[in-house]
Amino acid sequence: MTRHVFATLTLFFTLIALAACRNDATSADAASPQELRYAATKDIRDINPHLYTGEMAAQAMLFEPLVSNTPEGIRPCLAESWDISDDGRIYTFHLRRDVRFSDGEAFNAAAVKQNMDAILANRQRHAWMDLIRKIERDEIVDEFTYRLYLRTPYYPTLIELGALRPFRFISPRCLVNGQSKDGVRGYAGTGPWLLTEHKERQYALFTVNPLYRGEKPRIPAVRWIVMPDHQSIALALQKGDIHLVFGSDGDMLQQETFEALRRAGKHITLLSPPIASRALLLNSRQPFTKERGVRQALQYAVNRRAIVEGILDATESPALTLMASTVPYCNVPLETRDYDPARAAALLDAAGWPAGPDGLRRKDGRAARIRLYYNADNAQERSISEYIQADFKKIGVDLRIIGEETQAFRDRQRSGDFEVQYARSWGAPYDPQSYLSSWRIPAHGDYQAQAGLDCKPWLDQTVTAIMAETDEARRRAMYAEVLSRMHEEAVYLPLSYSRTRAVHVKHLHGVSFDMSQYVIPFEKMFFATGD
Amino acid sequence: MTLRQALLRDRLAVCSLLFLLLVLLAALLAPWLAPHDPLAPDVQNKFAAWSADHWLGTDHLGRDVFSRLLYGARRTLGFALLTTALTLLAGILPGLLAGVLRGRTEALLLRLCDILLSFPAEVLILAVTGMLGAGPEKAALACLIAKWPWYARMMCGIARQYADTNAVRFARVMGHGLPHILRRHILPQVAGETLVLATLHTGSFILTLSALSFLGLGVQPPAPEWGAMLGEAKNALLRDPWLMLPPGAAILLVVAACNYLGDCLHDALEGRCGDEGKAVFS
Repeated sequence: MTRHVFATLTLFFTLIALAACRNDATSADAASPQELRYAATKDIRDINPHLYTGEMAAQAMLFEPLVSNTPEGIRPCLAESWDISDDGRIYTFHLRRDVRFSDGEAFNAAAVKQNMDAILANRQRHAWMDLIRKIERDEIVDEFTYRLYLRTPYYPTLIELGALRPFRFISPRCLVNGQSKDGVRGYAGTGPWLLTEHKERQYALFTVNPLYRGEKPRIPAVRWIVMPDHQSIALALQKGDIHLVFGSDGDMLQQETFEALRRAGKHITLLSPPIASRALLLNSRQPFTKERGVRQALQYAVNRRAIVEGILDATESPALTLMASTVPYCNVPLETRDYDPARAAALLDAAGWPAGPDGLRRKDGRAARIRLYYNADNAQERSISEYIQADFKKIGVDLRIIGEETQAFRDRQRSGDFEVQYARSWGAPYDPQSYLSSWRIPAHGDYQAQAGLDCKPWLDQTVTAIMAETDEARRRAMYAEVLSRMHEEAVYLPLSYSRTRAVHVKHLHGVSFDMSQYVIPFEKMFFATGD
Repeated sequence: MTLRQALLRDRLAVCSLLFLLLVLLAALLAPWLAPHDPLAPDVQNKFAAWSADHWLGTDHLGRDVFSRLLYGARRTLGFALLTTALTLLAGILPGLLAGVLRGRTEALLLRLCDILLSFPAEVLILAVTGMLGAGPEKAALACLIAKWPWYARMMCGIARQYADTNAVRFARVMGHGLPHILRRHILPQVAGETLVLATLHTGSFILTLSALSFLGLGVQPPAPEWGAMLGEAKNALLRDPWLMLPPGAAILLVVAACNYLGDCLHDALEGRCGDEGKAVFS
């Protein structure tokens, strides 16, 4: 019998060895493929541009805004030009005349109004975006002129009109009784792509929109392939089954995989400039973290440089303030709190939390035990959590880390039942205005973490006031005041400024990053042989 | 031929037993044997190769894999043994009672077992951990709920078989009570079969906990556990494929040893009790 076992084992290992010898080069390496194969962990789902259920990158392929956000500022998109009244309340848009929706419908002021009315009929859902509350009414001036009236001046109006959702335009024929909130009939937009085929949870096929007014994409089709497992994506890329992986955070591509591919050198690996903030929320309503002294002490306890260099292989930059100084209005001089465990310990002693004989700190019989929740799908957050756990242990704070499903994680943000949780800003063009605006919404973890602060009413009022402030200098001063105060209160423990990552095969060219981390500029990509 | 003699004759069984004892000893002595702190990260030194300092290299946070493997053995084996013991208790007592008492008690217990056994164990375990949440205690409870009917049903069958023997009838006539009969006449008879099943189930519990931890439902980080270590290694599949080897091999070897030992015990027992023993397992 033993001999049989050995024979079987030998055969087994021989087969494995043979399988490993297989050549890597396969189908997708053909010089100029007819479609770009892109792998994502998630399906595109319902890409109704006025709702939040779909993948943003797919929504952006089909639907366009009036104006777009670019690193150079606001640029025309579906509107050629615009005028703003002196009091900052009336915006008049002069629309392009050469635009058609992909179903042949004309794009004009009537189409804009129908879309805007459909969006405004669902105000509650868009409450995170302040502009929705500011819009008083809108009107068609003539066939290609559209006017928007605001209740009060609102400085980020154009930025928010250029955001990914909800102010993007779908053919009026797709609206159901003039509404979009309960679903739409088809996805006819004005963008460079059409959604030609969609097999739920398998793939989506995008082809070039023949009615697109601008320069047409050079790749005839993009196939969005759903692969829920990160490792399958990496292996498919290595095998040559897919051409491109693109995403921020640990969402599509884990750091270790990115690093392995970069070292192997068979693919091109790209990193965007720092784009969003990664921080921890320290809940001001929970025991222990409700004390400002404690929150400040914890800031000194985390070795961000080790996290960024060790865990993230220096693909992100360490953050000492919530917002990077390159973000508009955020170049505020703040006292930095770099890694200094001795100082952290001293601050905790001063806050009345002396270390006990077992090393754990206690005050009035209560131990310094806190919980950190992270999204279980995010392998990066887990590694960082484990590292911070060890950092906190050094100063006598016991951190329990708990990975949760995405939905449970969001519910917890809403309920505020956490001491520590991950917070990510939304990156350009949402930072800082939309991000700060969202602090006033109770469904966000930010609101919950700030809710215990004495200055919370002041904070909310000031954020509201900033958005209505028309004077640039005064607005700048108000931002500085809010950011300094939040830094002082230490509700945020900044970790790093994250970047978007892309890995692609060598014969794919033109891969670049949009200003927003959520957009993938497929239309700029093309295949070419040689370098 | 006694059980012990039969067992000692099979060299592989002896090896399995020795190996399991060795792993158990290593787990018990982990704090003295481990060269490093299994929880201390050293990110400058992550994914280190096998070396004199780090015998099995380091993981994605630069933690020593060998030390984690030793501490992981404590958790993995401790969990498996504890769960086996609890399941035995939960299964044997009601099973024996039902087999001896017969009547309505037996019918009730057997139908309950039928209901629980009609679900595949994995589905039941996932459902229970889904309801209770993640954590080793909950995983243990889930295993207990899924596996106790096996023992209850088997014990009930064996007890019924022996309850009709002359020895038990005589004991009844002598006026001995139920506890005495169970202790003196029934339990010694079922000990062998229980041992076999317990050995096999210890292996399967190790696999279950590892699978749950791999999925993030069992042991929570940073505690080392073999399945969780395998899950962490999977995330670095491209970066350092060797990282999966130590926890994977550890699970494979220990479970294989448990299974082989169980099989040998079964064979030895069968040789001893002839067709009677066979009936129990078929």
